[in-house]
Amino acid sequence: MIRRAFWVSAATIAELLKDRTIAGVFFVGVAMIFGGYVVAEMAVVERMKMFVDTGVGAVFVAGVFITLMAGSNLLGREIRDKEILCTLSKPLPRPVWVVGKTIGLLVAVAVLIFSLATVLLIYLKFQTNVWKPEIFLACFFIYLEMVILCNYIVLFSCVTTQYLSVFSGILILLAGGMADDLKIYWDSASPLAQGMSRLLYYALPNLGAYSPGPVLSGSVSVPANLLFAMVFSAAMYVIVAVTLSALVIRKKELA
Amino acid sequence: MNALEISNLKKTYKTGFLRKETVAAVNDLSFNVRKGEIYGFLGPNGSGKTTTLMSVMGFITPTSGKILVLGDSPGSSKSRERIGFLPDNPVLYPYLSGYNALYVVGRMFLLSHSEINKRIGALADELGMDRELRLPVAKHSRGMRQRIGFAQALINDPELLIMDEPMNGLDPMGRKMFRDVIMKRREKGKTVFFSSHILSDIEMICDRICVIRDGGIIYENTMKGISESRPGETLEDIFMSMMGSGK
Ligand SMILES: Nc1ncnc2c1ncn2[C@@H]1O[C@H](COP(=O)(O)OP(=O)(O)OP(=O)(O)O)[C@@H](O)[C@H]1O
Ligand SMILES: [Mg+2]
Repeated sequence: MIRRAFWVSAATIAELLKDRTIAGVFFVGVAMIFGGYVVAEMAVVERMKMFVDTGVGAVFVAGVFITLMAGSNLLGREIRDKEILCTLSKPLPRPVWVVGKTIGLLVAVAVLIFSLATVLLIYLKFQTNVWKPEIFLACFFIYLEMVILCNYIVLFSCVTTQYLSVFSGILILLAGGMADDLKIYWDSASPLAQGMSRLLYYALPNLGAYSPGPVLSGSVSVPANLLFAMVFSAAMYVIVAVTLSALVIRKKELA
Repeated sequence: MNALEISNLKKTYKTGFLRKETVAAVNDLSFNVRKGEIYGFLGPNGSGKTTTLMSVMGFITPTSGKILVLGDSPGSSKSRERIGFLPDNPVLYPYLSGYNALYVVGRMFLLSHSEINKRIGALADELGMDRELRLPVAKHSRGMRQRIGFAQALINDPELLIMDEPMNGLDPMGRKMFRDVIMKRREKGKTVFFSSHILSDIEMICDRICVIRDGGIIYENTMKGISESRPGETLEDIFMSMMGSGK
């Protein structure tokens, strides 16, 4: 079964990297990184910071778009276009298919994000003559955030339509970034606000924790155990979401 | 021995925004396909052919009834090792080239690299595929996609071949090629079960047929039996008279 999952992933990666829309977003990302030049020229101080901020911002925006598009289409397109009738008529159990597809998506997103990060690193070196490998750590944080988002969208796309799952993905992204702010209401006087904020806090992914800002400013060094906790919780998201998606797909009527 | 046994199959769909109304797509359908025969599954549009095939493949769950595919329940991985399936309108990894798409399919059967190449080569000769293998599947014409569809169904040399409207989109040469492919599989003792509207082709290759209408069987006979009981009539005459009556 591992071999079959491997080949499903391989086909998924090949298909995603050949997808024109995704390639388009990737090149928009590259253009935005180069566009950092304009922003930096306009800046009076901290030219370097401008470069880095627009660049990492570009990686984030491109990452979000790619995740939303590829994630919402990952299982949905195959089901909609009846490709699945060919794929699953082989000795390939549905859960293995879901696992293979999801791993393929996560690898493809990693390839795209780290390619953009590399472009940024080299461009920065070229423009400012500064070697700033922290960019990779920052992009790794962005990647982890995308991993969590991917899982939500793939899961949503199993139960709703493509557009609804993109829409929910955007909501998760916005709300998840503000999850920490919910803590303010934890000790609120109203029991309703208290209960709601606690419920939401635990239901939403705390995407704010994956913000790349502190790493880039160089003021904070990331302790190893924090890094481990972040990777661990992202991995947990993958396992839970893949399990739930597999359960949904297992029972799904495919015609 | 039967390759496929269907007894009292029933499938109702819930329709409407609130899923209140129900339609019976297949209703109390029973028939068997024997090992080694070519069985044609006929019926007008919307009579329940695709629904039946989807149930046989385990893609949908029947409302009631029993299905045995090569002695196993529908959709079991064990039986899928020995089945080839061609859906109506096949699409396979649209962004991959035909060759790569078939390669991945071969890997699903855990075939080795050289074995897959050998089989793709043999199928390319048999099905007349050339450009199909190089172009991405999304850029294929209808008939080219159908050939890739055959190839993905045949790559594991299946004991039982199940096909939904296999002649769709094929030109006359393609249909001849298809008949040859099917006959060759019968010589090797394989079983073929397919749905179709193209009565002249069915007449040429099938051993036995059944006709369904509104989800139930209205006629079943061997081709030999048909030509004995209704000499001089083509399958089309018989089909038309069956559809005409009761309308
Ligand atoms: N998902 C579905 N939801 C509701 N009704 C459906 C669904 N799928 C099929 N039906 C209905 O079931 C009936 C049988 O459809 P089916 O596709 O099995 O016919 P068919 O014999 O394959 O027709 P054709 O020759 O046109 O391919 C039709 O009335 C169709 O409207
Ligand atoms: Mg049909």
